[in-house]
Amino acid sequence: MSHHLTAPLAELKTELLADGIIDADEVALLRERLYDDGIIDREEADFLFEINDAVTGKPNDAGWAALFVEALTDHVLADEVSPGVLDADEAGWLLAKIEGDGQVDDAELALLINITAKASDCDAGFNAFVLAALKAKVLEDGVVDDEEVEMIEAVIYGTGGGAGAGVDRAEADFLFEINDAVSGEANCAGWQALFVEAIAAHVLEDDVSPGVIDDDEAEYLHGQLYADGQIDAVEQALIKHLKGAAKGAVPAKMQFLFGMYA
Amino acid sequence: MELKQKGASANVGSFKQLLVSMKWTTAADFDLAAVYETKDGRKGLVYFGDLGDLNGFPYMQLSGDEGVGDAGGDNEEQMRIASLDEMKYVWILCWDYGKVQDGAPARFSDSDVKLNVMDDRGTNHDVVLDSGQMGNVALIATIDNSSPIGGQLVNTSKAGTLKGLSNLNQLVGIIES
Repeated sequence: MSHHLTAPLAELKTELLADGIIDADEVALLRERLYDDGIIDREEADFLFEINDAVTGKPNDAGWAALFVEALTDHVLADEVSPGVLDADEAGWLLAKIEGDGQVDDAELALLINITAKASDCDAGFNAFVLAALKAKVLEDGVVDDEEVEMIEAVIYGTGGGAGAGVDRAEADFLFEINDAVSGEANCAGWQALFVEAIAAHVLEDDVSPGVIDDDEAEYLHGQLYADGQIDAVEQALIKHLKGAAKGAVPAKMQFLFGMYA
Repeated sequence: MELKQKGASANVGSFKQLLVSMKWTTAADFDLAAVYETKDGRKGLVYFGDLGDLNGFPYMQLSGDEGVGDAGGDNEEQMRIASLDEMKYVWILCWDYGKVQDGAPARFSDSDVKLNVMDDRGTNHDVVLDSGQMGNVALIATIDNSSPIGGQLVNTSKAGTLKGLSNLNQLVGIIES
């Protein structure tokens, strides 16, 4: 494919998809073509999604997903209009592309996570979509494994997330919903550690009452902890951690939980 | 709620979990306990000899046995009730261990024993412990979970006298008296 630097993208796509997969040589050719001018423009970004939709689920070379994520992240974050930020226009285009084939595949989820981790700010609708897509992925098999813990950490603590590197209410809700869904399953040890650390950060590392569990936070925790009718081992670990970490007096509902489980 | 008089009844609304705390400093071996009856008719006892299990049946657990040998100091026993799903009734009791052995009146009125019931909403209910002149076992409160609406904490304060405690039926006799 000696003309890969000059051939029209439509022609290139036909040749690349002739065997139905993207192999390592094709990844190298694509990288050379796409980064020839140092910029991933919208036509090239659309082209990447077309290729991905055609080869999703196939035994592609691992480098394909890596190139897909890197190039599209550059397209939305290394632009001149909103450098480092996923603005509303970019989010609208991106989500339309990702939802275009009716599924969020592994490469697309990796892209969503990478943007959340690297952006300095993201559109709120995009953040909500990422949490929903990641929750669906995690709950596919009903158990949380090490790889999923890494993905969740990247999103929760990503600078582009709802509270930047902090943990906002939507992210805390997301964690409680996952925990209730996988309660009692053979989750990896990292899940409990992440859950405890992130929820503690949500209630103790906020601007309104840093280090303290205030009335609003106690109401929130109480509601979430009793939401599924049981307080499981992961939630009990959270309560124990909060008792040791929270400063000052705690509201009555937290006193009760500390008395019961800490 | 304040549980003052034997036979009084107080409905304090629904709850999911309860934390019962008994504290005293005077030299006495008071014991906190719970007798339960499940919805399928099984009865059981959580006390210093069987501390129970918070995360498995009967989903209630006693913290331990304090004041053993009539030791004074900062004595505290807690009964934690995590789930009532399988329970029809739970009766919260306390007794004066030494006096139960002798069949003598309890020393509740001569002590500084304080009993508190906190529900999961964080609402505190102080309990005045009075087993009367002759009693040495006090039934403090009944958790009535027989209604589909949810658990109700009811003041069924009453007393009985035992001389030696060897089986659950002795306590059931006081509860049903």
